[in-house]
Amino acid sequence: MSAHQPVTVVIPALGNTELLDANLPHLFAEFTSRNVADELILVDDTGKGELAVWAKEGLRDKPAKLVIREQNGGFAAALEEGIQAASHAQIFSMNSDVRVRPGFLEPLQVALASQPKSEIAHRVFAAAPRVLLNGNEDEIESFAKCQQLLGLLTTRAESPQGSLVKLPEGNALVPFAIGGTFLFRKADFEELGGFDSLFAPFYFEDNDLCWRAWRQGLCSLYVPSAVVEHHHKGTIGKLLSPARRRAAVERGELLFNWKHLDDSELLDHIALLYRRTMDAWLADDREALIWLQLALDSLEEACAKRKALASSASEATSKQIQGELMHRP
Amino acid sequence: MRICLVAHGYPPEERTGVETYTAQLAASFAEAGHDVEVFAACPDAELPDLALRRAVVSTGSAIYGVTRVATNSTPTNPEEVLDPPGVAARFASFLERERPEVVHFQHVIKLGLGLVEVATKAGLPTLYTHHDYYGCCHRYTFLRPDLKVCQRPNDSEACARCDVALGLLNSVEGLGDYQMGVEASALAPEVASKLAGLLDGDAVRAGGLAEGELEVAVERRQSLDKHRLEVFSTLGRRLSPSKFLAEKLESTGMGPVEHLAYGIDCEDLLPLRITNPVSAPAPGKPLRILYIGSLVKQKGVDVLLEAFHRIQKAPGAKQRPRVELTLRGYASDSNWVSELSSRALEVGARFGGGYQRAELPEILAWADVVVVPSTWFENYPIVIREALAAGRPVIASRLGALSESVVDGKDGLLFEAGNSTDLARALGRLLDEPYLLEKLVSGIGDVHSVKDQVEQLLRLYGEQLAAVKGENFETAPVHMRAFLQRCSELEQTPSRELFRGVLGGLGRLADGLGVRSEDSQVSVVLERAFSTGDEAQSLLRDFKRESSWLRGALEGATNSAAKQSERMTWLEESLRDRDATITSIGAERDEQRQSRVGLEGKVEWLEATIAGQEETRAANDGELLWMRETITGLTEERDYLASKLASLEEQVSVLQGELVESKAGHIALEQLLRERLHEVAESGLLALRGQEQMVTAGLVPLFEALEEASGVRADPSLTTIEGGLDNLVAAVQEGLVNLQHVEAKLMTRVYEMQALSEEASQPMVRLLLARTAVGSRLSRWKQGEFIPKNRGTQ
Repeated sequence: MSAHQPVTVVIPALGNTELLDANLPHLFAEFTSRNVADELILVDDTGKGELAVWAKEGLRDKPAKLVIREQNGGFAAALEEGIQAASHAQIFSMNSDVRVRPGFLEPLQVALASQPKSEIAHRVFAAAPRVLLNGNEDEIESFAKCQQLLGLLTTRAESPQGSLVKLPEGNALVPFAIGGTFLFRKADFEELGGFDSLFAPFYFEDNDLCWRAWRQGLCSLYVPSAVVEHHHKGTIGKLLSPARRRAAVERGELLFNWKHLDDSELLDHIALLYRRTMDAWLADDREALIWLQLALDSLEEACAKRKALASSASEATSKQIQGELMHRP
Repeated sequence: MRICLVAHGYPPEERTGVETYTAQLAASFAEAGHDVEVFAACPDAELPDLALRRAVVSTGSAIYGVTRVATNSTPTNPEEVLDPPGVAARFASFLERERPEVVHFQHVIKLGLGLVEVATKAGLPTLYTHHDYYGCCHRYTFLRPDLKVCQRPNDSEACARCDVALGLLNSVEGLGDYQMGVEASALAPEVASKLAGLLDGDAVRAGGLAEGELEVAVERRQSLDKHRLEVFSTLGRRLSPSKFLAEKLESTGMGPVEHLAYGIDCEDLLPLRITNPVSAPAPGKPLRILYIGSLVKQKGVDVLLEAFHRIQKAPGAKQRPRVELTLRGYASDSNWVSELSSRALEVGARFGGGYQRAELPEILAWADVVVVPSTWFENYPIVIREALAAGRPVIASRLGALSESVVDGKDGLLFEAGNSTDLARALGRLLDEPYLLEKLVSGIGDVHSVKDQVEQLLRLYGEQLAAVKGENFETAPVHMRAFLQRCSELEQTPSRELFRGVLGGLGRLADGLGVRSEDSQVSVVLERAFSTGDEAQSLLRDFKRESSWLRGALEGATNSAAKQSERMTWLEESLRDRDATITSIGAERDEQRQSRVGLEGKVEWLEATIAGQEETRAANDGELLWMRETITGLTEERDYLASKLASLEEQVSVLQGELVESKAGHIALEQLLRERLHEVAESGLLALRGQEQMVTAGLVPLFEALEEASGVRADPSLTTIEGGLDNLVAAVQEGLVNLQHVEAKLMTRVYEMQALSEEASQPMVRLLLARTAVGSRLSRWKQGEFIPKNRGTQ
């Protein structure tokens, strides 16, 4: 696959045009530099067409399309709609508060085309750039890792800890690519069924997507030579208290576990949840109880999705994927 | 609805009015299907301070929770009385767990105003039923420490005096429970006098107050009153069972206070009206008098005992039906209870001690009448409701809100508060008026039940809840709303329900995920869960270890505190000494400052004086110079005058000589004149005679002719000569007169010169003193009469 294939960049956006004004010029400059007919699809997820006026000027004479959603549906739904409208086979998903650095696409395209060094994956599904938190070189927030702790499978991005965290300098297998900045093939995405609404309104839909890909032998790669900056000004942070954001994360993680853990891992997981429940009750940790309840609210749907996954052919088990990721180069 | 009730105590530890009422309310709400959690203060020496313990109370079909906070610390100052440290934080954690929808405070004394603040801050609807005067009197009774009713409500100075007076009682040993106050008779005379002085503002009798002590107390009380008022103003709703109390509270400015009568749990009492009706006293049927309730001093039980004694000793008592008196109740004031029981024994009353609520029907069944002899502003005693519910008339003090509860002559009698004679009179009427008791029984109406009140309160709670603004999800993007709404619901869910819900969910989880049933058995799961670790267990172990460490640390800290306390005492003494020294030095400094100010004034005055003197000296120097010059001038003048005098004297001498000469000349001239005149006259005469002779000779013929012709004789020449002589004599005489003038003038000058000479020869002092005179004289001279030499026009 050529590294110079054109790419469709899909940006789901709410009404914050300042972010677009600040970040899109960098993207268009990259398009110009590459000169391979890349395109931007800006998805107006305000549900009110608020970006239409801005787009007349902001996207004038640019290789860009505005897709207006009739109803606000969140990042995953908006991204899916943008993907449907994409002209190219490769899609770069991007948050509106991400600012690309020159040359970011090419390493991702190269990685996407590469043969993974993996025993269970035969192809790369997603390539994730090095995401610098607020542009700081030593605060990388896109290197995800996988852990299994006493019955709980965690797949989370490494917390940016500056120079204390030793991250790989070359490409590395990761459990998932952060949904806000990753390159993938439209065809793979559609074949995997896109994002799972179980995780709505947000968080863990990207973990789930990439894990499903892993189960089908499609891996995710961290590509540090591709660099973008994440200037945290997203909508979720503005609308949700830290406690509710955490609740969404914890809920997503539980649903992810219920969907993807192997049968052999379940008993430990359930035991862990009992223990957590007891601990939370005894320690007046109401938040932990709320996380559990939020996840249990979607228990039936999660179980249904689990069963559906189990019935389809897969190339790797949860244990195998974990083994692959825990012993990655 | 999830309802939280807050009270300063709770049965069975506390059984007085508010606590009993709160318990009845809690049970009634629970019976009506509401979730009730009670938060109450309960000191417990077995527990760490501020420990929370929740118990589940089950009464009939009602199940509800009561969380007791171990309020073990004793407040050390008025601020801590109003807001005991740490309790509000414990209440906040309670609210966090229990998540009530409404908080209804019954009393926050011992708990603190901080509880109201916490609930308000949490955005919860709040109501407060005032059961006493806590909202406007920090002693909540309007009773001063001498047990007199306060006449100065909302007056911070009067409140501060209560504080200071209570401080005085703190220092008196053996008063028992004196917090409500002490009768003067129980105090040593000097203490009683000082107490009265403090409370009445009599500085002389109060004596011994540290400087500024009262001012500090007033300032502190003002601050506390302000804080209390602010907190009570934030409440969503303020309720009062009596109009009397509502008016008192509203007078503070806290906002409207709604009148809402108590409802009481009286279902077990109502049947007594039929099963044990009251019967009039008669021979062989005594009048049974009952007192039930708290045995604190302001309840006036001593007044009742005295009245009972009076009835028995009254004349004709033996003809009346017998009377019996039973006292039942609790009190923490063992000294007072001991006194009451002794007096009861003396007067033949039965002292029955405390009782459980369940015993109340039996206790009331015995009685014919219940007495409420309170000496304070009673609000809405539950015992009155209980007595009336049981069909027992009530005899109550005519004080505070009691007349709202008992209608004199209808369902009871009123008497003058604190007046045992008047109470004896009222009781005597029941003995003497055969149908009075039955009349009063028939006057008893329906009693407001707790069920009635539950309905009223639920309506108020609903109104308050409706007024609370919930979270607005409409502003969030559509895809987030359901999640946010669910988060909000769960955040408002009590921890217990969350726990229950999660456990239920986990039970379904195993099935849903397809775990084999043998594996998902609870025992298997729990074994797995807790064999791999238990954070809570570890935490508890940590806490135990930390507790024992903390105990050791506490012991060490206590020892250290004791040492520090000793050192503090020493330092305070030292500080006092130093303060005294500083005061003394300060006084000396002030004195020196004053002295310095005096000296500076004096120096200033002296400097001014010196300056004045210098000016005077300069002026004197000038004057001296001038005087010297004047003297010189005068000397010159004197010399000049002396020379002038000499000259004049010479002139006078000359003139005198001339005068003598003139006189001699005059004489000689006169002589000569006479002689000349004589000569002239002689010669003239001769000539004339000759001429006469010639004329005569010549004229004789003529005359003769004439005489002959006319008969007249004439002689003209002689007449002319006589006229010339007269003129000459007149001229000489005029010259003499002029000469006399000159002589007189000269004599005057001589006299003046002599006088001036004398004056000029006087000593200098006289000269100075005579300066004015001399000046004026000189002036006169300057004006023309005399110009001294060298003085010019000066």
